[in-house]
Amino acid sequence: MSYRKAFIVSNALMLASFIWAFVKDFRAEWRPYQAKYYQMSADVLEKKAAAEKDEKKAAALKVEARKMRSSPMEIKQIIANDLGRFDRCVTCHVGMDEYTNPSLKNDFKENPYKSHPKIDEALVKAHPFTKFGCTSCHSGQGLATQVEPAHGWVKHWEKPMLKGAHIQGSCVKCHGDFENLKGAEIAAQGKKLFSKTGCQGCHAINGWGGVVSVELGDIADKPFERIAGYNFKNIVMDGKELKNEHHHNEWNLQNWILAHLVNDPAKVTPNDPFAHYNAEPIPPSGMPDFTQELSRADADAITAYLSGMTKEEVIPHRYHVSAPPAKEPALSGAAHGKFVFAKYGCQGCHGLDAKIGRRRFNAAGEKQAEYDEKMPEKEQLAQMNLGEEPTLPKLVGTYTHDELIHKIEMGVPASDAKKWSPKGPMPMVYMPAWKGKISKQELADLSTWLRSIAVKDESGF
Amino acid sequence: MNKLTLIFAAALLGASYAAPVRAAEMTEKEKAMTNPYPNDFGPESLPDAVLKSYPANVQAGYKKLTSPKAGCAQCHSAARPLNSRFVEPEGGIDEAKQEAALNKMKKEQPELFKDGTVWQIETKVWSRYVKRMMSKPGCNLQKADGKSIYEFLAYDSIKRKTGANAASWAAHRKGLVDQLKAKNPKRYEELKEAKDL
Repeated sequence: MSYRKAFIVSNALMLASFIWAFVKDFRAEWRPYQAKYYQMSADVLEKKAAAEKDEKKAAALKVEARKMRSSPMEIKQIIANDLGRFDRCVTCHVGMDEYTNPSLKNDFKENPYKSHPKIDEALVKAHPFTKFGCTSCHSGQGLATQVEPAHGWVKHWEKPMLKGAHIQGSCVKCHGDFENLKGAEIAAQGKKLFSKTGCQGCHAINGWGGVVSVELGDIADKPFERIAGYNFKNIVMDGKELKNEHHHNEWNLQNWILAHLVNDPAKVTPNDPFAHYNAEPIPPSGMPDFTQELSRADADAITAYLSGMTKEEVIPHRYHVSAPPAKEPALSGAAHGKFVFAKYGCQGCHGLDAKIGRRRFNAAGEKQAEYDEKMPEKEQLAQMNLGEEPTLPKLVGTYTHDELIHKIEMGVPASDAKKWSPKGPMPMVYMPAWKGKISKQELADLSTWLRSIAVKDESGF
Repeated sequence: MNKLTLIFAAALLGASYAAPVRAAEMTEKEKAMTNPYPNDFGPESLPDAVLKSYPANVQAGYKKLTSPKAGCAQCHSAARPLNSRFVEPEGGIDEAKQEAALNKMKKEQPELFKDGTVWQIETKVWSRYVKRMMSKPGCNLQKADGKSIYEFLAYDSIKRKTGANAASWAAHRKGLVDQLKAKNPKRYEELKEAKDL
């Protein structure tokens, strides 16, 4: 080919690519939404103009309608510098764009046309969109201008849009006083339930709580890659099994947290208790099964609370609202001891009010059949699942006051447990040493309460 | 493939199959030695001569204690109670009588109260411990068995660790503490700090 011909061909290719780019942009996903919004708004204005008896007002409305109809099609963007947000959500959600819709109100019912709900509330007034953007509360991918990517439902986007109650996790990120905040009631309830069920006995938050399992102060930053996709095949939510495809919409952090509350965690993370794939048997998740104690709404509330546990997001100091720690009730003696038991999450393992020990995989328990290595694995698994933590009223009467304090201070290693299956895994959950974490007075009152609930000694010696 | 290669491959396969099972399945003695107490370095049984000198009902308690299927040894090595520093004063199940016996011991044998790593003399100490072990989930001990084991431990603790046998017990117990210090200094320091030596 001569240089002349090559030059012509390359020019033709360049022209074609320009045309292709122009067509692609012309057919962008956001354009029909924006066009329809302008059209719908103009129709509303014209209807208002027709109904208006005052001619001047009617004329003004008609002008407004004309302007709306001829509004330029454009990418709209909120630049929230302080929070590092560049959000183009208002390109489609035009009703929430303060420039196109200064009142931020309209009568449209459907997304993406409707205005922001609860617009009259202090909530939105305190968080002007131009300062906060959209994704600082809702999450999602602010720069994207297509439906799936913009909502964060695409591969490698770690913070997809928060749905329903879970959005209240965003209040928790900045508001230390979220428990008393209007609009954050579900997250506040989540914190209460987290504490009531004793999650803090095993999971510390920002250093406060037990060390048995992962610290949750940054759980909202957990990368998806650390949530094994195949585990999602074990999750049933609202009667439906979630897809186990990596990067599927359902494969997100909120579902991962929820999964541990609306399913038996031992089924969500079954691991390898018979050492089929590992050098040693690995027990399933040691987390108790809370499905009988927590409703779906409770689980959503805890998920909302934990969705606010982030360390990764850069939130300037002046955006934080601090709050003093909650005041503890003025109690003493056994009554205070009962409060201390709940405060440190002892019920996470020993049950509400210490009434019954929760599951401890492969620990020996009272309900198990005798171990038989010839038993099929499925039956062995069921027996291992019947292992239990000590039921304290049966045990605490065998300690003196000082011995009990010492025991709580020193903790109990996992190796102290008698295994049901000698070949099975070491029971995973253990009692951490609480020395230095629980004050002397709290320990004394805790011991007093525990000994007060001890069952009567009928051993005869 | 020659014969030697085949044997080597078979040995490797066998080892890879056996290793996981072995790692998970530890004897109680091995398990105890992962977080040992000085007691665990001592013998797991009493000399026949000592045992024969005990009354029949006490001997029966010993048999139950050491029974690998139904006794204490189902959860931990029998060395742990047999070499323990615990001593329960005489007086049976009557705590007031035990208290009186304890006060008598304090007057007559004050040396037994000087080193807590050798003797920990407390009323009802064995009673509490046996009941505590019986209260653990999965403990198969029946009430009568527990009582029998308790009777042995209480009797044995007085006979073998005090009076004429105090000096030999002290030497034995100090030897166990020294063994722990030499073999597992970290654990020794841990127990010392926890006042649980």
